[in-house]
Amino acid sequence: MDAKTLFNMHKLMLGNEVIMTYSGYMSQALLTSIASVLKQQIEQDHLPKKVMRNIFSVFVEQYENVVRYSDDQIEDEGKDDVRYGIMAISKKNESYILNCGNVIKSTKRVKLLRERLNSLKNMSEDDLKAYYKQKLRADTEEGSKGAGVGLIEIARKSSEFDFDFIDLNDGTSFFLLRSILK
Amino acid sequence: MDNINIEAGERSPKITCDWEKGTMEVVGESYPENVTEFYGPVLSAMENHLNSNKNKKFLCAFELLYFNSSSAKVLMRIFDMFEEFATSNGHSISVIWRVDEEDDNMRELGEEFAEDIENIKFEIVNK
Repeated sequence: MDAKTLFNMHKLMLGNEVIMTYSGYMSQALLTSIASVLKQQIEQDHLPKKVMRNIFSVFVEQYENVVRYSDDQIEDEGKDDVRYGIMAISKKNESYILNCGNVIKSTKRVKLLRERLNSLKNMSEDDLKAYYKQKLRADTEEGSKGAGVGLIEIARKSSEFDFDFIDLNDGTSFFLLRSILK
Repeated sequence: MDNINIEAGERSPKITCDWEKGTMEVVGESYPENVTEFYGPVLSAMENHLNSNKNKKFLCAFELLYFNSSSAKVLMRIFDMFEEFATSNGHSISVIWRVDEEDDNMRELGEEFAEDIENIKFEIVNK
């Protein structure tokens, strides 16, 4: 990639009011730094405390979702997870839009995730709360390193959310999750 | 058993346990890099203390600014453990959930935990 292309990417992001973007390998250690910068950045906007907290919260859950579940991973035994993903936060009018994406290799997992997200989309606030509590108490699901409640948290804190799976035509898919916070 | 004094980190709360007094305090933000590694030893020590606590009294205060979903899972485990000791072993356990007066969000999160509690005292107070 030449420097001009990089500049065009920069312009494209500015045009979309992207305030933060990251593409590459991600780790828990990196989250510490990115989260602290993001916190400073959203504090500048003097948003209501609740909105600020919700933005931060969705960001952390999205980030941790990539770090735990992306299938593009640097294998290094005994070391903490390092996985590939993208994140972008942009502003539009009064809304914040948080996007994350990562590769999923198993079609079975794509199917499960699609079903899970569809069911979260159809739940009322009360349903989400009950399901959240149920999941907080449940033993960690097999193959799930996290609390398994991150997606429910995202659904609860977002004003709206949607998702997509893009078929990469090699048996893998690119998973995208978008949260809008007002 | 040794008391616990964990200083706050960038992503983890300050935790103080004084077993003789029968108190525990958790203050700050909670989204540690590894939740199990961070809370595991504290939870085991707390369970040991409750098991051997003759006067059966325990006071636990939380003053959290933010916690992620993995930490929420730990909080739920703590409250369920308290509830179990109170219900089955007659312990008298109090939880104080301290919030900033304007922090409706954290107040609501405390209320959500409080909803499921029957046999322990759960108080939400302003800082």
